[in-house]
Amino acid sequence: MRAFTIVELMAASAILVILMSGLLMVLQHGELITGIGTAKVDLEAEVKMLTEWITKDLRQTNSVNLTSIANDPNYAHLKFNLWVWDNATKNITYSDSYIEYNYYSSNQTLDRGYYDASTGTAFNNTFYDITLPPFYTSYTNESDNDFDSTDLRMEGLITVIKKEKTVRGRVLNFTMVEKVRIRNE
Amino acid sequence: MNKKGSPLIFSLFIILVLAGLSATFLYKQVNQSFLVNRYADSTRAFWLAEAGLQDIISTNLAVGNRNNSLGQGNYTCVISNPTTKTEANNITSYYPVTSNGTLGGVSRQINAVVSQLVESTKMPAGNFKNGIESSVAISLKGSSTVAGETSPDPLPAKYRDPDYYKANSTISFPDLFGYSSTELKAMCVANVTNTTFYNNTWPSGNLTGVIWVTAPSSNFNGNVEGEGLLIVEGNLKITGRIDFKGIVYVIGDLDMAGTATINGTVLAESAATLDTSVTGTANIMHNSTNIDNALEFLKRQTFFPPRVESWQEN
Repeated sequence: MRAFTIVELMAASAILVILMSGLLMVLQHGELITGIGTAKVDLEAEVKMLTEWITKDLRQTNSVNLTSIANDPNYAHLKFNLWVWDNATKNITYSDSYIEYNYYSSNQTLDRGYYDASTGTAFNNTFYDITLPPFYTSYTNESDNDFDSTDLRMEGLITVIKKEKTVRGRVLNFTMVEKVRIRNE
Repeated sequence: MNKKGSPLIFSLFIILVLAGLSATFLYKQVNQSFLVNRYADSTRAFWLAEAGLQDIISTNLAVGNRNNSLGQGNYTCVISNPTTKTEANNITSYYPVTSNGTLGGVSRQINAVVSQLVESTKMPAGNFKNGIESSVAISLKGSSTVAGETSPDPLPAKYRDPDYYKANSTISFPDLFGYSSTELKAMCVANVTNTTFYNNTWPSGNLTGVIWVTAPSSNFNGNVEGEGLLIVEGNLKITGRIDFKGIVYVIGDLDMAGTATINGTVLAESAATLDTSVTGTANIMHNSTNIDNALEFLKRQTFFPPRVESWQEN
């Protein structure tokens, strides 16, 4: 049996290195694409979940309470009291418990606070990487929008959730716009 | 000899790595697909619950619980026993309604309270005592007659019974009908049962129920007959023919110069710039029965659609 010559071994090793390098590059690129794709899907899921949460909160509030001056509605802030239907008076009765949304542009966070007046307990959720104020009454694009309390009462609210984060050197963003009709007048 | 199997092991190893990557990728895709489908099902289930509520409202709460399939899902809407509230002018029932929408194993629930007017207290016909009543002076000329139930029978020519006309009267729309003119107009605009709305045009032919006319600038030169409550918003100058049983209410200047036969009452809520004028062959006969029948249209349950008083999602 004749053994391989040193040249044959070197040639075989070189071919193997080239093949392995190519395979590694393909796998690395695939892993990068998968990672970015997963991050983008996660980003979308987070935006959808947050939009769903806000929409569910706002749909069942009362437009008079939401737009009251005391609750100071604007692009970056909404507050509304929880309520129950009072079967005796046949009317809505507000409790001192409330939900409050605060947007902070400086650190790009949106806080959802829930204050339970019966126990005096406050709960807070913070959503990160929110790059736009979320509340409008008319919205065309990121620089052409408006907030008007009268429109809010008559026409409803438009929520715009734009989330943006950097994953592996790439900037990913996802925006979801939803019109919310406030059901209780 | 033992070196000859190494390519096989190497190949198997590569296949194992690739299979592992593929399985991970597949798992992620299936998982994302599941999440997306669940999100879509949840959204659809919510709108199915809304559809159940709207179904009940569209049937005026008359058919009870509703259970229907819609698309790939279904909704179940249950009405509980109502409680009643009695106010000065009406009696209203409040129905707790629970609507569930279900699709693909996802359910969403809406709890609402829906009110429905049971009966609006009918305003008494006795508030309409005159054949013609105006907030300004009334000018009776030509061969016009104004009379009522207690007037002589047969009527003398050009008879104007002072018991059946009243000038410079204070006329209040809500006191007479139980609704403001704005409310009643809104209901006519919305075309609720028994109402008709004419916008800047005169009606013609047969009229029944509550008819709201936003008057054009031209004279009324047409030909109408009917019964119920006819409200004219704007000036009414009759140069054509009108034969009406019930109440004619003019929010503006009234000039009856044509052939007008009113069996009921005429009211003019006019600005003090022009007398209410009744000339030509106008014949106004106060008739309590026709006035009562006209007011009947305003107390019917179907006059007001159900209204959602409170809405919450579980």
